[in-house]
Amino acid sequence: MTAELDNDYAVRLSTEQVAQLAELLRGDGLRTLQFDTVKGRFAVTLGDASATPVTDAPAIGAETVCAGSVGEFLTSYPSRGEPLVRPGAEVAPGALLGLVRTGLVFAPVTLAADDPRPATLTRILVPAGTLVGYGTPLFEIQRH
Amino acid sequence: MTDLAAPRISLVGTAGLLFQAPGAFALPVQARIWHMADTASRWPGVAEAVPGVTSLMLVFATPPASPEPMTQKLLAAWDDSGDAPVPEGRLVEIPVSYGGPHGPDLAGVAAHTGFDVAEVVRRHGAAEYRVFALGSQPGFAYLGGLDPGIGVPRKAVPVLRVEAGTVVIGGMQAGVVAAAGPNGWHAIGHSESKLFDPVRSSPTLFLPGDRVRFRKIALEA
Amino acid sequence: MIPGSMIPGSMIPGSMIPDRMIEVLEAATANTVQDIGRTGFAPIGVGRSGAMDPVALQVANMLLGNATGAAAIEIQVFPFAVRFTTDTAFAITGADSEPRLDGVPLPPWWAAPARAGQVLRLSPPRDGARSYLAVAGGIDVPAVLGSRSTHLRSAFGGFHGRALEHGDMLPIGPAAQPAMTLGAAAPERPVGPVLTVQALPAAEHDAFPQSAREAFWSAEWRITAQSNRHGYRLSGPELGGGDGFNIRSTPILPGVVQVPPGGAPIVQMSDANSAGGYPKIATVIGADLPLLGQARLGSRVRFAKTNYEAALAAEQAVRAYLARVQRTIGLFRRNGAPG
Repeated sequence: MTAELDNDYAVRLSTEQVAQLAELLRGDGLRTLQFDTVKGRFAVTLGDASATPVTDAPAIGAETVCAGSVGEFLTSYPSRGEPLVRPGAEVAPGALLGLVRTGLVFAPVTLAADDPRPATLTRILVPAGTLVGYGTPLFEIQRH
Repeated sequence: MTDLAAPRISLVGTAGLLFQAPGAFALPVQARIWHMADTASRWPGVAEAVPGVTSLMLVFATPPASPEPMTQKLLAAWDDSGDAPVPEGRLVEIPVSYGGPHGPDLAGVAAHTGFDVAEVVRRHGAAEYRVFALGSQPGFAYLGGLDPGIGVPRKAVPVLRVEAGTVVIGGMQAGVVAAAGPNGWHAIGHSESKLFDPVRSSPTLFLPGDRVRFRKIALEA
Repeated sequence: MIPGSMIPGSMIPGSMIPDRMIEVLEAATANTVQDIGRTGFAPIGVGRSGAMDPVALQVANMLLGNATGAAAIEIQVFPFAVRFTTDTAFAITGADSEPRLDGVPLPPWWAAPARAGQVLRLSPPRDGARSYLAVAGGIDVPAVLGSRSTHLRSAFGGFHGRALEHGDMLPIGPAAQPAMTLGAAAPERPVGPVLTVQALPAAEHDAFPQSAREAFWSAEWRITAQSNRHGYRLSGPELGGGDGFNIRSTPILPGVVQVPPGGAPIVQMSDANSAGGYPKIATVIGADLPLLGQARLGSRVRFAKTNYEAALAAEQAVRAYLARVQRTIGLFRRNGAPG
């Protein structure tokens, strides 16, 4: 396993965490997880490197909601099909917008509740099914 | 009821093994079962050894790769149990009010056997019974030792609700209902004895091997 | 000695404070407190009880950092609603009953914090039969004979030995872990109009006439309305020949399929008696019993004959799923989130 750094990315992972990620990758038959942060891109690769996800750049100055964990980005709960939220929808602080699946666990992607204003979801920046990393912008929103 | 000619061992899914003893519904056979249960409960890989009526279920702690070794151990334990002594057993006495609203089948049993009600009650109270096993309901004991003269086949259609404490006869077995519910045995009386109390230090009144006597305290026609 | 170290356990903050409760707001009959079940008391006639879908129960507890076998509420009659009287965390798994917390929809197989006063409502699921509502710290009713599972017939365990009713206040144990919002992937289970469960032949299988055996393994059985946590009574072809031999009562376990006179089989479920006196034709394997626990009244089921080795492999797959869920949740709990 290799951990590659672009730019002078400040590593947020402990050695133990990297090892845990590798274990998750192995368990799920995945090969690469990518972390996009404001400072650069960080990829964890098992064996040969594979493709990195494509993300739309958010509009200049727009507020984004980012992934808080590493895994597969989902816009609906698998057995339900119905999207958690659609572009154009008004969302309340704390609302569940998406999911990031790591192995058999789903972590929530929620609209931060520290800003009490509701918002409109303007764009989903990453296609469902994409592998995303900590800090990957997923949703573009506009606060009211 | 056909007696088995040889021990029968079968899988209970992958959860355990069921051993069914050959021979009659009789105390010497049951003594061998108790002896085997005691032995098998200490075998590695056995989580529970549950004695039944001339049968024994072993519940695996973890299912073994093959059930064969434990099957062989069971067969060997059966062979080794041939001279298992019949335990002395505690004597438990059950005071019974025969007949009345809780013993509605007493007259029917009398009619079926050809005895009068008093003779059925006398024979029921004269025998000493043995607790072969507990099962079905918490605290319900399968009692062997019924006077063959008052044996009555179980009802074709069970009664929907029989109260706890009801003294019953079914086939060649006797019993006391431990929890209210549907029941296909014949109700001949009632006892105030509490057969099951989960917070009592010994939750059940009966334990396997106990000797049981019924004592008449009343007879309502 | 530290002052206050003699304070009895019930006074220690967070251990048994009376306001750590959930209140049952809406409940029809038959919803009960269940844990992983009661073992070790079959010799005195006490059956196992416990969750009908123990996989769902265990995942609910894992999501909260509880002991995996902790007591939860098994909901099989909907709608159902509770109010939290304290800040806590809860998890809901099993059949997707479209949980709503103060009206806000939540995904299935989901854990989230709840504030005091919030109301969680569950609706009738479209698929599956039973949902599990676990709380951080577990439902803290007294353990009776080693388990908190409700034994309805003998009226002990659970909440006063009975099904939950409107207004019941259920105590909650001290939480072992801080509240987190987290979901788990439900185990992959077959879908389709007919559920197939794997079974092994049982003690009296070979004593049935060949025609009855063939009918048992090939028929499509319907789970009748006379089915419950004790057992599923099936309708289909009559399995004749079973009343020719009247066997002695033997110990039984959930999963055992008995054939009473009349020829309609009964699959023993969680509340099965500890012993049974009818001929046993088969035993549903442990890996597939939770599938049956989620089968609805009126639905159809088929039995596929398997062997011991295949049954072990199926059970290993269930254990591997649970271990993987537990391990991944552990990563999230240690790190907040991996990465």
